[in-house]
Amino acid sequence: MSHDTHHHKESFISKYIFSHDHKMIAKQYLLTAIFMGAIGITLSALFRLKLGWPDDKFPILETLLGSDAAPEGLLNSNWYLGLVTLHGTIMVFFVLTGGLSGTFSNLLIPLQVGARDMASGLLNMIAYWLFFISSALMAVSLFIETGPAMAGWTIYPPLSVLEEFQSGSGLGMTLWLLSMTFFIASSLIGGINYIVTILNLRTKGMSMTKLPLTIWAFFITAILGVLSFPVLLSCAVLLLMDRGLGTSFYMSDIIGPESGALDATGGNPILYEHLFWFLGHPEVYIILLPALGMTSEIISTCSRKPIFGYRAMIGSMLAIGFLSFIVWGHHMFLTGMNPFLGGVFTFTTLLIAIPSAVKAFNYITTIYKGNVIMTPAMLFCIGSVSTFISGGVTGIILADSALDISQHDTYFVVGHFHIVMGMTAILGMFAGIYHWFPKMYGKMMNKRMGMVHFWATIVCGYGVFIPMHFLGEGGLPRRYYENTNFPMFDHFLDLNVMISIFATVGVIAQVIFFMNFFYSIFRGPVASLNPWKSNSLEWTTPVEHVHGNWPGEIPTVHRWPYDYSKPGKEEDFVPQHIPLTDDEEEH
Amino acid sequence: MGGKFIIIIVVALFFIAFIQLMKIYQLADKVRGQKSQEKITRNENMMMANLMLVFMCLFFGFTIWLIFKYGANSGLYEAATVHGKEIDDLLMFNWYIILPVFFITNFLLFFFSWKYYHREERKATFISHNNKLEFFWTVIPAIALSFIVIYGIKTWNSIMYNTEEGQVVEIYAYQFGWRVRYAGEDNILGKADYKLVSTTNPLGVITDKNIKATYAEIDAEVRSIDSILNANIDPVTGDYLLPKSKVTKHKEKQERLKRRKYRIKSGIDKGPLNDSIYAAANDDFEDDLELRLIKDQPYTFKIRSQDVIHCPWFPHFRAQINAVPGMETNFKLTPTTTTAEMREKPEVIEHYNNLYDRHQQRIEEYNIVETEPFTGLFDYVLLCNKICGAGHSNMQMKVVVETQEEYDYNVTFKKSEKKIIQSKIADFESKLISFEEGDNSGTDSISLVCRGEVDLVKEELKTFSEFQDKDLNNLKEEIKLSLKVEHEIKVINEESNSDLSVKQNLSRLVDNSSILNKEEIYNYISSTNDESLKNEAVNYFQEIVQNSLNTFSNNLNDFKVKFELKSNEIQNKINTLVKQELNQNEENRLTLSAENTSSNTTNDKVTM
Ligand code: HEM
Ligand SMILES: [Cu+2]
Ligand SMILES: [Cu+2]
Repeated sequence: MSHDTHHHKESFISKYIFSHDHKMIAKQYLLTAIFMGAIGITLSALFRLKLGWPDDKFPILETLLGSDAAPEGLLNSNWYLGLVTLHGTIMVFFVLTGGLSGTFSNLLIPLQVGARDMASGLLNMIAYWLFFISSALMAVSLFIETGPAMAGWTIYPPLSVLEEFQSGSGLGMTLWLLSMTFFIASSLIGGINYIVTILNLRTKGMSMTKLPLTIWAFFITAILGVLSFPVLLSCAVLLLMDRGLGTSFYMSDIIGPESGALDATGGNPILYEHLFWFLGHPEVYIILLPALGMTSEIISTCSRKPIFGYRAMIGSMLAIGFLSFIVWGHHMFLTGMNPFLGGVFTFTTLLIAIPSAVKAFNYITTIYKGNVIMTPAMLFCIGSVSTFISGGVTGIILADSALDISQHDTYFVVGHFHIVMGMTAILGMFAGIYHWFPKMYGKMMNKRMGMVHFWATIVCGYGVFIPMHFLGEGGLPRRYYENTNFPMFDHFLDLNVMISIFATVGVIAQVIFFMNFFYSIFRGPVASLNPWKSNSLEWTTPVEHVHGNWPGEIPTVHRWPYDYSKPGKEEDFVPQHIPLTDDEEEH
Repeated sequence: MGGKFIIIIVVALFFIAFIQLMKIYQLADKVRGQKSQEKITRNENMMMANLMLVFMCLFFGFTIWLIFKYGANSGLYEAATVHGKEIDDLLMFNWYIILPVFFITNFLLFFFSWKYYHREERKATFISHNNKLEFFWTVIPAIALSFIVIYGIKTWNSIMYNTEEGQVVEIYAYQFGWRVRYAGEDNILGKADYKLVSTTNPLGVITDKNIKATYAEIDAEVRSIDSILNANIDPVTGDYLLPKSKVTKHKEKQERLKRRKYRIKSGIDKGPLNDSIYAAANDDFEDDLELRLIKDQPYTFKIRSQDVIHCPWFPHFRAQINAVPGMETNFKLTPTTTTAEMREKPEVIEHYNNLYDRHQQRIEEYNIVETEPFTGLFDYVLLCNKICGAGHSNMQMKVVVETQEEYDYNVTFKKSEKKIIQSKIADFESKLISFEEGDNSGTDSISLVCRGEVDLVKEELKTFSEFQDKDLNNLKEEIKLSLKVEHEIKVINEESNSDLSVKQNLSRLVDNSSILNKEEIYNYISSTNDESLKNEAVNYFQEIVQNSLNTFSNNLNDFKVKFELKSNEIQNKINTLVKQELNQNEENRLTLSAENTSSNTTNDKVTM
């Protein structure tokens, strides 16, 4: 747009803080996400201590959380739920929605479609700062006396409505809702910006079918977000009104431990669940799709081979995106919803397995007969595809309403969603960071440490979450502060210790990443223009960031981004801006 | 404070060491060539590729090990309900499809990554798509999934659209526990409403008596709030001495109570018709300790919640459904295996022996005092499976499945005893209320007398139940102790040790016991290593327990007899008083109605 190549003098503040430049904003998102991620995984390590060693005291808990939360090093049960809730919220929303989309949509959309910046730099900046405020509010809620929100990341009412049900439903829940309101605003503004940029600002020749799959993924993700977050907003607003204004949208026939029988009648908590999961399910694809998009790009680049079935990949993403809006009821099979709906949602949910399977097979076929360079990013991608498969297959069980009767809300679910959503997306995000770090900071990250980081992460990840399936099959419910109240679960005592050890090691292993990341920003070797010999447009921009991305003309696009190892070419890659030769077929 | 300081120092040192290391590493890098971070060397590629295979083997091995060690439904065994078996079959069907897919696709992924790792001399094959192949792997999953969907929905429908009503039992969830209510002879649960919930009527069952009691309770509460407020008025200024927010809270509560009474009056209370409309409640009976079910008897559970969403979850039955406040959900099931039958299965015995050992190990390691010691016997349980607050992880109720005969003895018999006592008390109270409510001048003295009597009975009942509690606790203590002694003896036998440790063990044990005669235990057991004497010791303990049991049931009987006499006595007294009162009332009424009829007729004329 109007950002030509002019270089006006910028103050520190306008360059690093209130920047309108998408590359800077991407970095801001990434740093915020890394910070929140550090909190999120630390919380999981802390509450895993309680689950692994239920009778031991851990003075570190008191040091970190204060004596309200963990008197004498013994975590109390309200705070346990608080930690789980914040862990889930932070991971889902702040790291893998705000962080993942925010970082990579911002970084890659203008660079890969060939635009000088986002459609609106100002809105983009506002979106980031709303995200920042929202992150800060969420983090602050860990420090208040009554504790953070404790009703689980899904904050079902009535539990989340009255403080007398749970101490976290007081100020902690208010902060949670406030934070999420900012978050939703940020997502909407960001999402609209992404969509507009992709639709309007593509460079010459960049037709929709020449877009890299990353862009398609971000595009569909943004649409999902724009369509579903408003529903979450209304869901949260009604909840706020029930909490503060005495309405009863979600409340009926309730007796408070202190206030006695309440007036509320006629509302229904199931309404909340419908509204929440109408966002909630698309949300898991908001998390997954960007990771899958980046994985497609990196796998193709590092296998030196076109992505297999480019159109099928787009088609399956579109199918997944569409279907994700009509499956939310699979979270509610056992709420007392009409059983007929249960059957319908089983059907639609299992339909999603088809495009997902197509994606998995296409990844594998891309690697088949490739020439796979094991960069850290590629390793993470392979891991990500593996977890997508391993977590996807157990989804088939949970999609089956009849089986859900014996699996719902057990640790089987926890194992399933961590592998398919948590690990796939986190591994995908790491892949993205390792792959595009040179583009973000102009430096290289250390590859050896990246490799160690990958192996530690995948080993610990599977070590934590595969066993959880067996806990769930044994009937162990999730969100349990301790499993020792039921001697029937005592045969899992040792398995839980193992899980906690894997979790602790896994969390500590992330220190390797943090150090590599921050060290490389300042001291890493300077990157070359196109370190991975990749085809897409971002690698035609200079290593040093400039306003408007390309110092001269924006290149014109002549081909799709996956011409790797094309027969008849000398190099094993042909960037998108290289014109087709006369006798060359498109693909 | 010191701890924090040390942590900070360690972290700081760690970082400094790391930065130094990185510097050295990069120096070495520079020597090797500038762009070494961008190029993955042949060795590295090969190593990563090999690690892919190694990892795959470990990963598969780990999964297979877990499958063999735990498998599906670890520790839950074959489902103990009819529909549960269908679910298990469906689950196995799914696993047989899923596991091969899991292993094969993961294998292909890791195998290809290994096989096609980068070598300079190789070139990747340019394959952009293959419509046939893609069609093939869209259709194959679709076919497999249609089997899964059809089988799944069929099972779901057969569970959910089961029309057989069976016995009706209510399960009521609250923070943090369960109550159950059996529908009684008519198999219809009396209606309930949350506005009638109180300590004496925890399920809010609607009966005439409960409605009246609720009015009384509400009135009393309203009055008590008034008196609290009045007691806190500054005599000079006339302002409240309490903080404003507290005053508002009190007043709000008062208003709420008044509204509640109004809503009961206008919605639920049908006046003289109450007894006939809400008659279904009469034969219902409640329990908050355990849920007793009959083998092969179909059940319909009707599920309600008092406060937040809970979820009754019966892992052995493969049954759960949310308990949602303001809404009734239900679940139908038919238990097929009694608790006793489960306890006889060899695999259950073995598993529970192991569980017991692991449990005791933990108990001993951490010196945990259990309120309810684990017996090492199988039991069905009901637990909560929807996050509901601080006590979510300890919302449990014992579930017992038994034969019809056992059930008749355990439930019906117990129920009738408890009911008799309860209904007597209730009787007195309702009479009292009707006295107090009716505008009976001169009856105060009678009502006072009756109050006194009822209080007496209540007092009696309270001492009895305290007594009973104490008895029960003693009993529990003793059982626990005897279990401990047995265990101890087992250990001693296994060790076949020197006398010294026997004595040490025993003296430790004896020190811990406060109830039993220490001398005696000591003498009995420590005097010898002789098997028979030890057995004798065990017998001795069992005898003690048995004695306590006997005393307990004797006491219970004594009380029942005493109570029966006492309550008859009161009943008679009240009867005579009531009769007198009624006679007098009748007279009053006759004179009154004579007056009324005359005034009514005049009124009628005017309105017409
Ligand atoms: C170090 C890695 C992690 C560990 C050890 C871990 C462990 C756990 C555990 C033990 C729970 C509690 C389960 C329960 O009681 O219901 C949990 C909850 C959860 N985790 Fe993680 N997790 C990790 C990473 C992640 C990631 C990457 C995500 C991203 C999606 C994630 C998302 C969640 C969510 C959404 C919940 C549910 C919270 C709730 O029940 O409200 N976790 N995690
Ligand atoms: Cu979902
Ligand atoms: Cu509960």
